[in-house]
Amino acid sequence: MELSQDMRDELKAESAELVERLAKVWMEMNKALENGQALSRSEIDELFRILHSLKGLSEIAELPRLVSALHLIEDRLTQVRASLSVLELKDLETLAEVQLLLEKIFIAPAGVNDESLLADLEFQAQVFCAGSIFEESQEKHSAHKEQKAFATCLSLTSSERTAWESYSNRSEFIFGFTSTAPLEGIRDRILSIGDILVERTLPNSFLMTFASELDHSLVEQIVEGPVRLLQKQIDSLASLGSPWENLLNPSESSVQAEALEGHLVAAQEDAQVVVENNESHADFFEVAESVSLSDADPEMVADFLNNADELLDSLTNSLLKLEKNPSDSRPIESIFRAAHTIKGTAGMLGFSSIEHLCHALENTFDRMRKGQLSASSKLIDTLLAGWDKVRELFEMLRSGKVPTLNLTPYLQQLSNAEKGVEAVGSDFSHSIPQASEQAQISPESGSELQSKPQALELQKAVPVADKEISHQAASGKGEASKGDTQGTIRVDLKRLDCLVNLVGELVIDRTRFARIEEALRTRAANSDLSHEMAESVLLFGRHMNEVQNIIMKVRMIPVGNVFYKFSRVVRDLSRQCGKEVELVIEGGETEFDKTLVEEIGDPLVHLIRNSIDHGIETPEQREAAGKSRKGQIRLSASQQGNTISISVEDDGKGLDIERIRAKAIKNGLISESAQLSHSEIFNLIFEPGFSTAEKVTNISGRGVGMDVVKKNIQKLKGVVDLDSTPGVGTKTIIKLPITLAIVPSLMVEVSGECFGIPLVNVIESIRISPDDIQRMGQSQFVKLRDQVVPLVRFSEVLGLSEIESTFWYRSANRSSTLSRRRERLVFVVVGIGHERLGLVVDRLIGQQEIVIKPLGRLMNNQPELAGGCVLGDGRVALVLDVAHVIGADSSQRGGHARRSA
Amino acid sequence: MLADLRKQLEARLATGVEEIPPPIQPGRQFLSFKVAQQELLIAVDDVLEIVMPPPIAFIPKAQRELEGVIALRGEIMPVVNLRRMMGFTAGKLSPATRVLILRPEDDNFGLIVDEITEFVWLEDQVIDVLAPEYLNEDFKVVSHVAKSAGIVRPILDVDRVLQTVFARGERNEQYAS
Repeated sequence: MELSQDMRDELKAESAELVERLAKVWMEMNKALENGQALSRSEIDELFRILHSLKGLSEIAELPRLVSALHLIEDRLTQVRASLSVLELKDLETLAEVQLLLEKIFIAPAGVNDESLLADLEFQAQVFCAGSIFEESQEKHSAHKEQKAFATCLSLTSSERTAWESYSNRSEFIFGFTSTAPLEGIRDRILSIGDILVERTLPNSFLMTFASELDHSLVEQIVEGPVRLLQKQIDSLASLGSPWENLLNPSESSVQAEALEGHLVAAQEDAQVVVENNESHADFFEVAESVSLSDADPEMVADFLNNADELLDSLTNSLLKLEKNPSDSRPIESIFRAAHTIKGTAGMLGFSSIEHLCHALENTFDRMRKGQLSASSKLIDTLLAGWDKVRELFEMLRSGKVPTLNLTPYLQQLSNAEKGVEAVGSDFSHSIPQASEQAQISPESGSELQSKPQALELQKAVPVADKEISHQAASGKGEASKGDTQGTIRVDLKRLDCLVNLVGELVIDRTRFARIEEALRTRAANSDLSHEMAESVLLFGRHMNEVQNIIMKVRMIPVGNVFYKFSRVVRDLSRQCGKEVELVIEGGETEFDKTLVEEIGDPLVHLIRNSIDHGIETPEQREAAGKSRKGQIRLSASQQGNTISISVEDDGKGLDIERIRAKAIKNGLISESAQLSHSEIFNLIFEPGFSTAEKVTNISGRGVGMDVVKKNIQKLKGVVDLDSTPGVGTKTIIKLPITLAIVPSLMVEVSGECFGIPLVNVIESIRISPDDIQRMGQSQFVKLRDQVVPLVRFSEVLGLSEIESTFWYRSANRSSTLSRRRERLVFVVVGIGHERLGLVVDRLIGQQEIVIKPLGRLMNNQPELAGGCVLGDGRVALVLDVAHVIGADSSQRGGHARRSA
Repeated sequence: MLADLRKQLEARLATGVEEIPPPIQPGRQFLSFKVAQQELLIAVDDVLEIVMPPPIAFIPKAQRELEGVIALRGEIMPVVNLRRMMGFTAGKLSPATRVLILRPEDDNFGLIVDEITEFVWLEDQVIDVLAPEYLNEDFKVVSHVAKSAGIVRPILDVDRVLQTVFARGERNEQYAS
């Protein structure tokens, strides 16, 4: 099936988030199980929610195979939730596979259509589900048998049998309805809430068995009669009373005639029993729902409300479209999907009223979809009123109340409208104030003790109300936090980028204002105007800073999303290598720019692979070295001012300095006599093609990984640093600027032109006398404390010597600022990792925050330049790509081959 | 007043007699400018705007036809030095110097000209295609000529300007590697 592009993007975005959450919860569960702890309820619930959301997504995208596979997994989890089954480590293995497959299916461009992936997923889902079958097989089997028996004793026709069989693997309740009046009138109402499975007629009475997702009390109100909740077991027929109980033992059919006579009388008593039943069922729901409500994560609720609002809006639109053009089936399809999504999520969060109402509406839509109903304007009106009710429930939820309404009048109205009958439910309008009154009573009543008797009273009159009160009591604690929850909004990244760019422009404007203010101060010192201007500029600057901070925060996401994925990488790889490795994650909550988080994954995978493959020893070696059998990789993130640092640290054997050195000499990277510090030697492993591994394994050894790491990090304007102690471990630190959009830079002037050097690369700027420069052939060096730093003229690096001859249209007001004082040289020490280079410049201008922009497609590739930026006065300053400048310089100095060419 | 006009128009449309007003001026509009005494034309449709020369930033190692880059409302774009592209002598900023911002597809770029002379409407019959073999290398950016009021003026082809810059960029890159 072809998905539309929008749909695919949406699916990808949503599922990526869910899969990430899945990875996170998996990791927590894995940790708990490995430590021998039991899984917490909240973890399992989270797992369930994620899978359910994924299922919902698949349903919207119309991917039936995914839905069924996820449903299987959910089935098992339902049992886990009901404490009928326990998740073990082997289940988690399967879950890990499932997670990986889901990731592939959803993220890959054609993943959702990939047969082999889907087949794999189905297989894994079955394996996962089978975990429960071992424990449950006996029970299930017998239940199934009984169900069959129930069916056989009713002697089904073939169409009834298929109805029955299709029911047997669903989770609705099954009800029996017996009546002395013919069933015709009730059939439609039942159709509006569920599926009719069996209809039986005896001379004096009728039986209808149907499946519905509604609970007992609601069903009761819709069909207005003695409805029984039946079990899927044969015994439950007994609860139907005579004469139906006789179906249990067909041999006793002789009694049937007598029993039938007594039936009319018994019907009276029946009603009494039903009420009792009703109460006990209500109790059951009370318990179930209070659990799910206290579990409902306020964030999820807020999420749900946001999504549902959108869905409701589109739904209303579609309904109106449908009214205009009843023959068009597309609106119905979209309505159906939206209704289903709201229902599903509401059910998941335990808001049964919303769920029931949606279900009823969905049923109506279903029949419209199948062409059994036509969209009359009356029906549409009623449906719209129904969605208004849903909205009302949302409002209750939003204000922290438990969403409950007496839905019966409305459901009545709906079924009437379906039949094309004028709505009789005149008390419909009353039900709203009534319900809200009830909602108000309960918080005031405060204590559970007080509300209990009230609940009992209300129970008889309005069976829904008791649930509401118990909700109130249960969620009393959650209420405050619910009130606090704020909405979230999903924003197109492009729009956000546009906003970030605009803020960048404003930052430039601020600099421009500051310049004007400065000019004003020097020219008209002490005038009111200049004071006012100074004040405004100050204020503007402060607000600008705030805006900038906030806009940056908008783009921030926790880096943990990426980190948690690595637990799987570690697990797989360590198994592959026969090593025991534990991944410790620190600072996963640190927030980075979204692009950074996305880009950082790749290099980190390489580092982690290296740590496992080369760093950490086998358990035997570790024991021999007096370490614990289990190696540890510590992945941590932190923020220091304007830079963030991510480190990968292992407690393995460390780097073998001699081997790296020998290899580097062999590869011609360094000369045999070269005196290198340890850190310089360590940094050799970032050279392309450098590997000390004797043999290439499928994990590592080609010498590509570290090169990739360095290239990627440099692309992100960051630096990599590596430190290692033999026998103790290796630590790689990645330092990155906190955001890519606005780069603080040091502005310098060279040959009358202005250039920016990103501050992350600037180590220091120093003024020296020309006499301090040491010359060696053509190269110049300067001794700086303990380090010898090569010195290069900025103008030579960029080839600015041609400027005089080729730059014809230079503005007159520039160039003149060049001071020809030669007694002091100014140079900026730039560095990447351990490499340092001194750039001689004409003048330091100062620090400025700039937005780097491309120079345009026309300009041919200038590797030394990262781009340009617009200065406060409208001029363009070029920004240096320090990584490239240092790279080019060192290859010129080190590589003899290059020089001769 | 406006309502009256609309009524009239509606009435006319209703009667089915739809009159298409004749174009104000036949042909296309061109902008005439001078580069080193040579007068050239460029189609007004190709010109986004005409600006006073903003400060230009020098780009080292760029194609020789490019003078540098400028910023126009936050966007950085290259500026073409037409004098150098067409092999004229060096020029310098003067009060009459202007930068034409051209818009081929999505990448805007600037073009430095010495002076804007006039806007002219030219009919199609006064415009001739110029066979490339009659032009020397430097005039390859010209595709047509226009004769009007006794003078013959070459018409600058924006696409060819772009092609020349791109071609030079590729050649430079080959040379560098």
